[in-house]
Amino acid sequence: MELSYERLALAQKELSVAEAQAKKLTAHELFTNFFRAVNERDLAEKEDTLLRKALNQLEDEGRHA
Amino acid sequence: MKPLCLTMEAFGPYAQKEVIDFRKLGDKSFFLITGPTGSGKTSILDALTFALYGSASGDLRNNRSLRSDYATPETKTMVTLLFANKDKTYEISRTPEQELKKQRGEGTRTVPAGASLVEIKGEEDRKILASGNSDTTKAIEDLLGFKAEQFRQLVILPQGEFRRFLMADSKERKLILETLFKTGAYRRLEDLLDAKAKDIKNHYEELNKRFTTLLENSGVANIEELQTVVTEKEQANVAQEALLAKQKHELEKISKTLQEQRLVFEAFEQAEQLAAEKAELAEQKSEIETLKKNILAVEAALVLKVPYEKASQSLSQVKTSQAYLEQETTNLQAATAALENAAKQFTQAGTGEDLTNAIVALREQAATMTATTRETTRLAESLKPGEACPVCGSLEHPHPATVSAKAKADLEAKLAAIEAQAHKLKVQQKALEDANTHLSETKGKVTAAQNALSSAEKNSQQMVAEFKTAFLASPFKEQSVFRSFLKQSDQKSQWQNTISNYEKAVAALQAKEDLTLKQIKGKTKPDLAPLEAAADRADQAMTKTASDCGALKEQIASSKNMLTTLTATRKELDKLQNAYGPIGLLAATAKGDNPYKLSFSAFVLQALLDDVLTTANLRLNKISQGRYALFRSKDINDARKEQGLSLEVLDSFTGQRRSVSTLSGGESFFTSLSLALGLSDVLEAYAGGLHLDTILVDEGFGSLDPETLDSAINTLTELQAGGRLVGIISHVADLEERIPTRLEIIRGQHGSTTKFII
Repeated sequence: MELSYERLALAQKELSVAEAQAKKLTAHELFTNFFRAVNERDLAEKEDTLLRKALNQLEDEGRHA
Repeated sequence: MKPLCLTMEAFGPYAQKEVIDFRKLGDKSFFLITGPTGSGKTSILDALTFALYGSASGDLRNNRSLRSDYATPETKTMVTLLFANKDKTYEISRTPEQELKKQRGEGTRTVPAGASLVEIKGEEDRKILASGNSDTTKAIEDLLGFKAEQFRQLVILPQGEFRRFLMADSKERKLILETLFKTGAYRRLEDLLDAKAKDIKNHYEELNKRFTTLLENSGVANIEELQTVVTEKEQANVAQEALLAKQKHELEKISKTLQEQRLVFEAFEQAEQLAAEKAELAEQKSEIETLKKNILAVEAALVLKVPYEKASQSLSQVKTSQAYLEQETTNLQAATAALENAAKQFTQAGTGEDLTNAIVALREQAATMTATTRETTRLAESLKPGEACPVCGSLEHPHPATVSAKAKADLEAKLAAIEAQAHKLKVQQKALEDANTHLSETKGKVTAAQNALSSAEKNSQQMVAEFKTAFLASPFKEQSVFRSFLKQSDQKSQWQNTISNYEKAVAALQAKEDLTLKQIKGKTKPDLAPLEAAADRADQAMTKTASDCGALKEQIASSKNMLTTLTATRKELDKLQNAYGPIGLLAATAKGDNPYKLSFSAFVLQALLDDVLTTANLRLNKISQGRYALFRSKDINDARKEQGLSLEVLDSFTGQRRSVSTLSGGESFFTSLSLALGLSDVLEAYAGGLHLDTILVDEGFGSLDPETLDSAINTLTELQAGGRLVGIISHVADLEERIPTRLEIIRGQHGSTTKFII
């Protein structure tokens, strides 16, 4: 599989613009962009649920830290 | 962070207390720090960095060298910075470790480094936030959001270190970006996903190991094989159960036959036993017959008992009467002899008449004597001297008459003897009379005894006759035999019991014998041994089959349990495998196991760097007059190792991208400046980012050609327009003309001083 840097760059650009402008890009959206960019597919529902759980845990740890 | 006022004492070239009040700049926040070489331009950056972080602005300067060589031993080196950050005002003070003159005595003492951070809320309201060197540094890092290194790369761009962010390798740039943009959370997400995946994997492997061990212990390769084993064992069990039922039936059959034969055998045994008992009873029969005869004899004896006893009693009565008569006869003889003796003795004592007379005479004599005596005594007692004695008439009474004692005694003796004799005579007379009376009575008794004897003899003869009559009628031939049985009469009931028991025993035995004989009639005594042996064999065979059956059932149960455990484990493994699927993919993707070999944190950093580059290029484009633009190098093999954060510069003159290391001194200066400014802008733009209100650039402008210098100045001027304090350190004379607002450093013989020219 050839590296699709154009696609990656687009995803990164979207991310940058979104974060820079709206500053609303969540870690979940960031990862979703990343996942889509590197795997050229969207997160499955099960993966998405697990990711959200992991992020929630991370957030909890951050709150307790 | 925006400096408001910097106070230096005995610091670097500033020997005295030097105050730089940035507030004097007013709205002119773009200024030049200028002065001759060595006057202390960079020392101002050192003082700022030292005040905040306790270290100088450049690597080559150490803290000890911060103390002014001009300072006297009594003067303490100290830097105080008043600064604003996010609408709040703070004051931070620091002193380096230094040698100061002892307060007392000669010599110096080492004073350790000190620091404090205070928030100034009002003129009188100062809140100490931290004290001590390390605590204050930590507090300022938290407050500003970056460490000394980042401060030197973003706020104070000192000589040498100014280009570090541009020239840094990917790894170092990654650290800078991670710190500035606080992207640790993305890294932690990678780790968290990885840990979760590893956890599931480990659990899976552990469970799988257990699963494999269980299979090995079961001696099968898989669950299906174990299921087959269970099925085969269950089939074998069915066959064994059938065999067991057959053997059980066989055993019951043999046992029944054996039981029946045992009963016959026992009947034969009993018959033999009864025969023996019967023989024993037969031996007792004559004895029983004797007892029966004895009973008849006793009964006959008892019939004779009354006449026999009467006869015996009458004979006894005769004997008693005879004895009594003999006794009385003897008594009569004795009484007769006693009478004779009494009579003889009475006679020898005289007659009674003589004695009576003598007693009378004596009594008369005694009476006479007594009367005489009594009269004599009366006369004697009546005699009075001078009076005539009636007897003799003497007037004198020399010897009045008295009774002779002897005469009196004699008389009394005589009288006593006579009375004794009289008494004796009376006694003898009485004895004679008694003997006579006794004789008479005895005679009467003898007569009565004779009569009684006669009567007894007569009665006896009658009784004896009656007995004899009865005896003759009895079966006894001899009286001794009769008496013998009469004596044994008390044993009659015992004999009767013996006979009764015997007869009962005979009857019972007979009944049993009849029954037993009925049971064995027409049968022969069986031999039990072969039957018992057969029963034993059947029992052993059945026991073995039952045992085998039990063992097989246990094996089946155990295998089924194992099957259940293995199935559950398999299910759990499948579950883990299913769980591992998505989490494993997430973790692997996040860690960089993807077609781009890009980790999530690197992806984020790349995105951030792209933002920085976009912003930096806006200025770089102006400064380089459209020649250069920065790009991330995309010629990478493994983004996990190289981070994908390498920089390249696109030279529009050639249309080629090349490494930033190929830039000349001047080019790298303004590229670094653009990058630093871009970084500052992006940092500010991001929510929760840092506020970079100040940028102080140390040197580098000398390397620029006039056109580039213009572009650089213009760029920095634009920054000023954004409200940022921009300071440039340079001794380039040309800059003094371009930047009218200056902080001039004046070098003197006793240290430098400063002056704002606004």
